[in-house]
Order: sequence, then structure tokens, then C-alpha cells
Amino acid sequence: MGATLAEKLIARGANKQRVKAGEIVFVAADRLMINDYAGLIVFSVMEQHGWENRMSPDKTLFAFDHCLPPFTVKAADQLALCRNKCRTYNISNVAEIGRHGIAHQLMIENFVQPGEIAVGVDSHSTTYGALGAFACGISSSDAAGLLASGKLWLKVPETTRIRIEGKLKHCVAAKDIALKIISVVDEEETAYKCLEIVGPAVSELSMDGRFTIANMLAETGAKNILFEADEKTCEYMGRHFDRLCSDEDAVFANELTVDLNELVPLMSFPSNAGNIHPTSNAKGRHVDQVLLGCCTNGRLEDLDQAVSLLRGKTVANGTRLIVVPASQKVYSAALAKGIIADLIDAGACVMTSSCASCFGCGPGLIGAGECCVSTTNRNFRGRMGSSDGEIYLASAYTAAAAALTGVITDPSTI
Amino acid sequence: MQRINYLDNSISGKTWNCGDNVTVYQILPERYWVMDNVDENNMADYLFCDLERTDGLPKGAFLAAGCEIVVAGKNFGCGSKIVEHPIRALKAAGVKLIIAESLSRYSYRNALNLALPVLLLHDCCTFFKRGDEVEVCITTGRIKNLNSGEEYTAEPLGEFAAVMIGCGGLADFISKQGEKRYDEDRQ
Repeated sequence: MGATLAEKLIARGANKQRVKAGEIVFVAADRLMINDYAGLIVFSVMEQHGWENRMSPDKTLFAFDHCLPPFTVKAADQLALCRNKCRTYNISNVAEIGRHGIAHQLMIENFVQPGEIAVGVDSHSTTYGALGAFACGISSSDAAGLLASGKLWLKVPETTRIRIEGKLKHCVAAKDIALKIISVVDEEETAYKCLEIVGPAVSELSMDGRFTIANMLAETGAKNILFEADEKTCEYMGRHFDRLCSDEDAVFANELTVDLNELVPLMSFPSNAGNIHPTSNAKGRHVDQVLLGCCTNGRLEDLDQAVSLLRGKTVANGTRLIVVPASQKVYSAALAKGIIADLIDAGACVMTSSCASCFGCGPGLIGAGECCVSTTNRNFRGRMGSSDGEIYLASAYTAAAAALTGVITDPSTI
Repeated sequence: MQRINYLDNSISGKTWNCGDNVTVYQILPERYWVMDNVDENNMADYLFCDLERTDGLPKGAFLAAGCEIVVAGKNFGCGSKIVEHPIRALKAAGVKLIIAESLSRYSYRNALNLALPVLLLHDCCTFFKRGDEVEVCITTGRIKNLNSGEEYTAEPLGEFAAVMIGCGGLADFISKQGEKRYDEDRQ
């Protein structure tokens, strides 16, 4: 019986010939992400047990991404405490404000490598699986234990294989693929599972599109999301990696196919990411705020897709467009390509990279009764501000169409 | 097996029932997740206070009910959050065991890391009323409802979970070389 890709990656991390789904193993993680949200608890657990950091310094990334630049004195104090603790625990790889980005984006910008085991103290750490790494979220205690012992316990997951085939229509994007997958899988197929995305349509997907899917599918409750590292991955990484994939005779818990030919723009309606319908079902709904960006859809391709609809036009009266590039690097690249100027000319408010608008912990909140179309990954009540506001999740195309018209609009009709 | 020696095997107490898909936010509202430290005693006061708008518990009500066993349906502790506060609050409130159809990955992980045993039992919500007295053997998964007289067998605690809980949770697992102990138990 062959091995799944997830089993191969974990076997490598556990330094074993072979591991099998269901088994508990101890892996030496190659990469650890800590952010300013869960970081202080990581440090307090370290302190409580008198632990030292035994992980090699080049394996850990500390990212300021939730509360920046600080907008309360409390946040400023907490960030200062984080810097202080990073020094105490010899974490030198700190993404300071100005060289910052949303942690998940920084992890995939020349940090996580294909074939590695990469974990982070945030549930959207699944994003790095798009590089062909085994990537999942862990708790603050797990991270402290990992720093102290160099190892992490992991249950080897069964794999649900999702084959995507067909061609995307105009103005249909990776986000729509992710939403489609969420709408067709059930808990049995996703809970504790690795979702491996394969099929002829994968090679057509850009790396940015793969990151979107690996990020968004965290909402299924899966343990991790995996793409095989292929030529595009190597090109993105700037060097060659051997292609690792599941064996022909590997056993999968479930196998399903998603046809992209008939896929239309989709949205997660309020107030659950799984409440998915065609965008056209909400056609005409007034939109107060559009949030374009963050870790799900804040990369260059997303900004480019939005600008393809907004360039030379203006955001509708009565609607505001907030743009959050996923990192300083993305921001700089978008500036160089003229994308940021186009967005500002269209009437957008471009903000710095952070989780604040999506997470509801800083600028970009919505008020009572307001409706937001957002390219982010969560839309439960109160996520982005008032619990009496409504959030629709969608692609960058659909977000741009809403900004342009002031109402929910199928972008393919523009 | 060796683990029996260091694992407190029998648990008894009153049950507190909740349904399917109870999120981490419903176990403990996010406003009580203090992210610069964990004040367990304060959190315990607010357990389940937002579970449903019409059925939320007033402050301290869960503690006052004196229930030590939480019975839940599918996907207990869902919401895809890594935070440990909700499970820590359950521990602080004296909860000794969760019986559920299934738990979300993060909540299962957090429960084991905090040495809170979890038994999985299909349809468990229909077997207990709130306040039923039950007796449980966590290594065999045998559960007796003393009010109804019925007995059930849950999926027994796995070997790894038994070692983790026997050690007293992740911190002690690391300091007591739990990995070695687990490997020895499996020999």
C-alpha cells in the first residue's frame, strides 16, 4: 500500500521510514510562526515552566500583524512586551513594523520551503500547504512546547483528495473554487483530514490562487491543505524542488471531483463561511464597505483582478473601498505596477498590511446595520465590528464589482 | 499496561448537556479571552453565557450547577480557533471529562494538552439529561448513567491520550519525557 503525500511529509519530519494515518508521531517542525495576538501566551507558558528556546533561531518567525501600528496604548505596551520577550528567548527573526506583513504572507515569502513541516499559532497557517509543505495551526502551548523541546505531537491525518478539472470562466477566481469546495464537502470528509488538491486545473492556477485556496479551506475544519510542489512552485521559490506526490496506490479517505467549467462567482452569505450561494442571488443588495485584501486575497493577482474592473472608474457614492495588501512586499510590487495609483484614483482607501480590518481589532470596522463585501475568510456576526452588521465573503473580482456599483453584483456581468 | 498505574481511571459527576456545533465563542465569549495572560478563575464565571441568545447562562451559573462532565454533540469547540481559553475555563470550572460525538481538531488538541479527558460516543446527547449522575471508566470507555440505569461504551481513550493525560498535560509530558513513556507503552 502506498503512502499519501501527507504521510510522506510527516514521515520525513518524524525521521521515520513510514507513518500511517491515525498514528501519533513527534515531529521536528521546520518552521514556526508566532504573531502578536497569540505570542504573549506563548511567552507566558515558557516563563511559567522556566523553559528556554532550543529551536534554531532561523526556524522561527515572529510577525507583528494583528495590532499595528498600535492604535491603543494597551496595544503599544503589548507590542513592546513582545519585542522584549523575543530578545529574552533569542527570536531574532522579527518582522518589525515597516518590514511587516500578515504573518501567513511572510511565511510564504522566502521562508517555508516545499517538503517542510511548518506550523503557526493561527488557524490560517494552512496557507503554507500551497507550497507543498505540511502546514497547520497549533496552540500557544504547542508553540511553547515546540520551542522548548524542538518537537510537536501530530496525529497523521487521513487524506481527502479533491480533484479540480475544467477551465474558469471570465471573472471567476481561485476564491470561487475554494467556496465551491466548502459548499460540496461535509464534515465527515474534512474534519481532522488533509485536503489534497490535485487535478489538471491545478497547473493552471497561479501560486497566489493556490494560497487563497489553502487559506480559505481552513474554514472546512480540515487539519491541513496540500498542493504538490510543481514547476510553478519551483519558479516561485526560485530554485528546483523534487516533485513529491501521493503514491498511485495510496489509500484516500474520500475522493471527489469539482468541475470548474460551470463555476459561477460565489459568496459566503452572512453569517457563516459555509453559507454559500451564487453572487447573483444577492444581486442589488446595498453595500456600505468593501474590504479587498488581507491574507486570503491580498496578493498581487488579487489586486490586479480588482483593478481590471476598477481602472479609470470610481467607487460608487455611498460605498467605501478599503484595500489591505498582504505584506509590504506585495504593497511595494503593487506600487511599482501602478496598481495602487489606480486604486487610489478610483477612490480607494489603501491601508497598511494587518489583520485588523478582517479580525475586527482595529481600523476598518463596520457599524450596526452595515453591509460589507470582503475578500477575507470569516463572516460570523461581529467579526469585523458590529454584531448587527452583515459580511459577504467573495473574490477580488466580486469585491471590485460591489465597490463599482455600490450593490452586490455578479462581476461577470460588468 | 503501565499507564493504568498513573492514570486516575474513574470519573463520576453530574452531566451538563449542549448540542451540536458549539463553537469556542459559545463555550467562552471572545471578550473574556485575555491575550496577555490567562486568568482561569475569572473565565470560569462566564462559561456558556452566550450559548444562545435565549438560553445564555448568567454569570457563575455553570459553576453553580456543579456539573463536572460536559456532554456535547458533533464538532464541540468548533470555530477554527487555536485559542486555549475556552478549554482552560472548563478545567478551571472543575470539568473532569468531555463526552461528545466529535470535537473540532483544535479543541481536541487543547483538551489533551491540558489533560482534560475526552470520550467519543455516538448519539451521546440522547443518553443523558442535564444533571444526570454518571460514572465513567476512561480507559475502557464504560459509562453508566445512574439516573436511567443505562450503560454505554464510548471509544476508549487512545494510548497517546492516556499517556498525555497521565502525565498531567503537555508541559509535564515534555518535562517527564512523555514521548519516551509513550514509545515504551507501545512496545
